[in-house]
Amino acid sequence: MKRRAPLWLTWLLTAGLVLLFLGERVLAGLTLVRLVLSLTGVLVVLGCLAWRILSWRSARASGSPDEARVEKWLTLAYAGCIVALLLYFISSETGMRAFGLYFDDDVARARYRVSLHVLWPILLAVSLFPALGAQLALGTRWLVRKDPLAGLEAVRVGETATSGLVIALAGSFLFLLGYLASAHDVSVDLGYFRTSSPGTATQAIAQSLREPLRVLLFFPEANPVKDEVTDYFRALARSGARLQVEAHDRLAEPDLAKQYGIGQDGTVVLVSGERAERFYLPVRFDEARSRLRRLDREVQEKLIVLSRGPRVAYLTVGHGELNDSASAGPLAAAGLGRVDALRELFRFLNYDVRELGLAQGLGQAVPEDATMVLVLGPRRPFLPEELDALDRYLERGGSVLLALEPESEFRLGPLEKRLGVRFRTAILADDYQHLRRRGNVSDRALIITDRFSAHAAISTASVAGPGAAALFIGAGWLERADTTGPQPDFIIQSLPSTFADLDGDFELDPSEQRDSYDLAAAVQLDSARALVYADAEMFADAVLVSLGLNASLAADGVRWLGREERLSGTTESEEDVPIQHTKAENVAWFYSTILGAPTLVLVGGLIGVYRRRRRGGRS
Amino acid sequence: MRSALTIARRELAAYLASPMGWIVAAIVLLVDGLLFYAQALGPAAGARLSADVLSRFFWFTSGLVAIAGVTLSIRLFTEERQLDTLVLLSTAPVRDREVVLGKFLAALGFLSLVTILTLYMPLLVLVNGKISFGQVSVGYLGLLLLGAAVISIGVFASSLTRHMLVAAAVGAAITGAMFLFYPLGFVLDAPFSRVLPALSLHGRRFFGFQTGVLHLRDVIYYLSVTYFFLLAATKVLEAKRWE
Repeated sequence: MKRRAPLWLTWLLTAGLVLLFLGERVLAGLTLVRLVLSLTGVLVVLGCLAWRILSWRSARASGSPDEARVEKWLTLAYAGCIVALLLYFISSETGMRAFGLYFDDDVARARYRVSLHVLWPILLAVSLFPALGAQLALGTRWLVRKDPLAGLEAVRVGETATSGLVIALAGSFLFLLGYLASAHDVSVDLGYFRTSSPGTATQAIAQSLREPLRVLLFFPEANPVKDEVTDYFRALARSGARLQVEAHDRLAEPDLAKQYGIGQDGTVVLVSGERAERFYLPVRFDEARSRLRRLDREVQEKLIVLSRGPRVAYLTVGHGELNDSASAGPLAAAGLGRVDALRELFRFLNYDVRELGLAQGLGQAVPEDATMVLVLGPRRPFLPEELDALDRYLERGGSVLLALEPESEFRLGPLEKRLGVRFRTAILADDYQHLRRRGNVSDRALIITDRFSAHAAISTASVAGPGAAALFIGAGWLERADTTGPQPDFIIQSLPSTFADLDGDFELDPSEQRDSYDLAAAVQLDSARALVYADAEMFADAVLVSLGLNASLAADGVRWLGREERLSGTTESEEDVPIQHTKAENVAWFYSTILGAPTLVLVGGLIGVYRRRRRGGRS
Repeated sequence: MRSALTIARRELAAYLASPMGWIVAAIVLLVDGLLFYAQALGPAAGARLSADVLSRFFWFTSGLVAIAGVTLSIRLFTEERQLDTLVLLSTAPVRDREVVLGKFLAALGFLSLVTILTLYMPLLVLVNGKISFGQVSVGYLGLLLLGAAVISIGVFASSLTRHMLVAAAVGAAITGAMFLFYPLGFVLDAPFSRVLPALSLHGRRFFGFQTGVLHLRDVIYYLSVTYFFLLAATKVLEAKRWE
């Protein structure tokens, strides 16, 4: 087969197109470079077409039909590339001006440009790919045999060119399909979602209200968020609460909306007697999901406000407490963190939290408006006057929570006799059941326990199922101080594998003993109440935020001290939870994920292969 | 279609009857388990939310699926050429597209089996976490779609040459490039910044599957990539008949 055009002509055409692409798309910001590249590209492409036309004419003149046919296809393909470039040109601002294409309407202009922006790449692809396919076929043929093989050549080249055309058309179609799919995307979110259901605490509060509860829902008609909220309150009503759910339209009932200050859809109003509380939810379901997961908490917070007025809780300061670590002094070791979560809990329970130190009069007396006083892990001792003030507060029926740290200088003083509890300062450790944090022996001080007695101060923990455990960090332990004085209830014990680490090496030595140590005590003295915990860091943010049962202990403890234990219970939430394990669980997961499953698969598979081969050998 | 299924059954039996297939499966599970423990679950990972643990699991499993997909598919045609058995297929009364489809289905079937075997890891998260079966299902659908796309790329690469190493290099290069399109889109200007992320095999494309959100556009994309490369492989086989 004679050919005038060289075998590399199509590659040259491709190179010209690449130069044009670089000039127009990649380096368009550099005017001179763009001009040089684009111009060179256009000239190369035009030159290739011209050469191909000449080659076609030569083939026709030579009287070889196969050659002429192939040259015609290639010429048409090259021409297609030129037309594509032309379409590109007339879609540009320059081209539209050059051809006098003006539009009065911006929409029509945009449609024109978009249509051409879709058309020219498709035309370029369906022209270039067949050309490349045909050229590849010709190139192969030329390398393998120099002598022409009459008859088959055109068919082979044509088949390969058609393959290129099919691939180009398929690619273009799929590209358009993908674009349409993106523009009109449909999605389904199958992630975990549930609206929280009414917890036992919410149910108890709703049942305790003096007046029946009216729930007014101001939502648009046929709204999925309204449906979820309605289901929640119906479940609350079924639990025994006296409540009535009403759906209203704030635009159709402007007087009612004005009465409760409704400014937007998605407002929920809780009315009990003369008092009303409201909260807002997004009306769009995807925006409301995260709020619906913790709906129970939100409702409970409002019901607490409806059930009674605000109370006052005092946190002592000035002795390096967890809530006042700066006062521990510059040489004190850094504490575990802050107590913002505990403050948030108090806010949720409708308490006003204030500080109580020497400056606020702790040296004289605890203020009269104190519902309770919390002493959270003081690192320096209280003055005798401060301890006496707390003692007198208990004598007149107050409530105190003492959370103590073994590595501190604080001593109970007169409170030991008042409460009948002594605090032992050796740190408890457990080499079997502990939380794994750093991966060394110090983790043994992160003891966990599920030993809870049935007491109102820990009601949630008392009824928690197996697997629910509370965390104590570097705890000491408690014991009865005086057998003739008050009789404290020891409500939380450590696991029997716990030992008192007397020498601080986290190892069980012969002088140290495993036992179930008392970690918390509840004391009822006539009208006074006290809770004593052998650890303060269990109330720190890092723990309360991560561990639900520790948070429950704090909440139930505050309710008991505030004489609201009948309102204790669970607050349901469908929010995601962190995955945390004990050391034993970590070991089990490690071996199952890394060794167990792969070994099972390998052994099972190899046994199957062996059996199959044996069966094959026998037959 | 019947011929394609026959070829698929034969190839799948070859995978299952070969110790190498099970060794590959065990290695994938071992590496996946190591990554799961280190990145998502163990002490070094910290206390992650359960949905985050699941999302991470699908993220690094997708990388393993891509590697396994290329590994399983590169031998499909190169081995036939090396053993000179491709001529038997070429002369059999079977269309080229049925041959390609059959081999693709076999590789996909085996890869799906290996992928499903990793199910115990998300189920472990389900025990203590708040995740849904829907989320797990969408994640595995994403893995299978990604695996199908990568296998189709491997089939195409395998159809180009008789040398397994060359096929592996081509397959890995195309797959790797398509994985890199997404981050490249951030550093390049238009039109690459628009086009490349849309063509990427991973990144934003796979993120929905990680988090349990099923987008029709992503399903169509993976099916399109799979179809395109299988079509290209078919055309290459047809062209090579002339050699």
